[in-house]
Amino acid sequence: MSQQQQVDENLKFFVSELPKLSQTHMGQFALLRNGAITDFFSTPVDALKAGKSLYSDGLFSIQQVTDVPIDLGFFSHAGHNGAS
Amino acid sequence: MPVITGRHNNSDIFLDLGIIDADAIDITDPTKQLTHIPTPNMFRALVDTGAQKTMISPRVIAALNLTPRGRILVSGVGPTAHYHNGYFFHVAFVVPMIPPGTVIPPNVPTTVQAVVHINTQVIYGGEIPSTGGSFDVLLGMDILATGLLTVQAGHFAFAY
Repeated sequence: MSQQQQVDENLKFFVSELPKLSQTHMGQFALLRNGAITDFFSTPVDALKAGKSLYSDGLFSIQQVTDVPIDLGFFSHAGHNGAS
Repeated sequence: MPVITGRHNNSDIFLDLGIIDADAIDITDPTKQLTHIPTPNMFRALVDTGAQKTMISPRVIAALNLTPRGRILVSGVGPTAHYHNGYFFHVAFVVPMIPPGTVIPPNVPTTVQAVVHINTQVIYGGEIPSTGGSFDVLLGMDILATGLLTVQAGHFAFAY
């Protein structure tokens, strides 16, 4: 499994769990691997450090527990958005 | 406090900055951070005080061979929002060391010494899929808030 596949698979699981997680871990950063959450951290860098030290193959991903999107100001509203 | 200065066009502020893969600096051992500083790849950035995060284009991601570390929810036009790949990186500012009075002829390749200032904050920013080719980095408030941005008639300055 590639890192991109890991990220995408973990995102599917994360999105399905988000309503539940929002009640208990809002704002925190979840460390995920193989479609499951390993732990939660207060910053993305802490989650990255943990992921690197736990998984030597580098296959993990990080998701913030939030349903509030990042605003990119002018760029958001100029219609440049095209990601999936 | 180092300062980057330049001209703006009354509409946008662009500046050149460096991006460094966060993996290139060992964050698990802070003592190593001062012993090996990679040379940053340089890109054109659009200063956007309305952007909450610094974002990077596919060209930056390809040039640095960055690894996606998650997905970041980004607002789109209207009520829509999309998940974009997220990457860890550092922003670096490069200040040319040109002695006062030095005349650099236009259109002539010239080598000048420069000082590289790497912002110590690790940025977890997302991919912007399309920038129209005019810039590759959207410089957001996560970096701008670490310094002082001044905009005056025709000029800007960013002290950090």
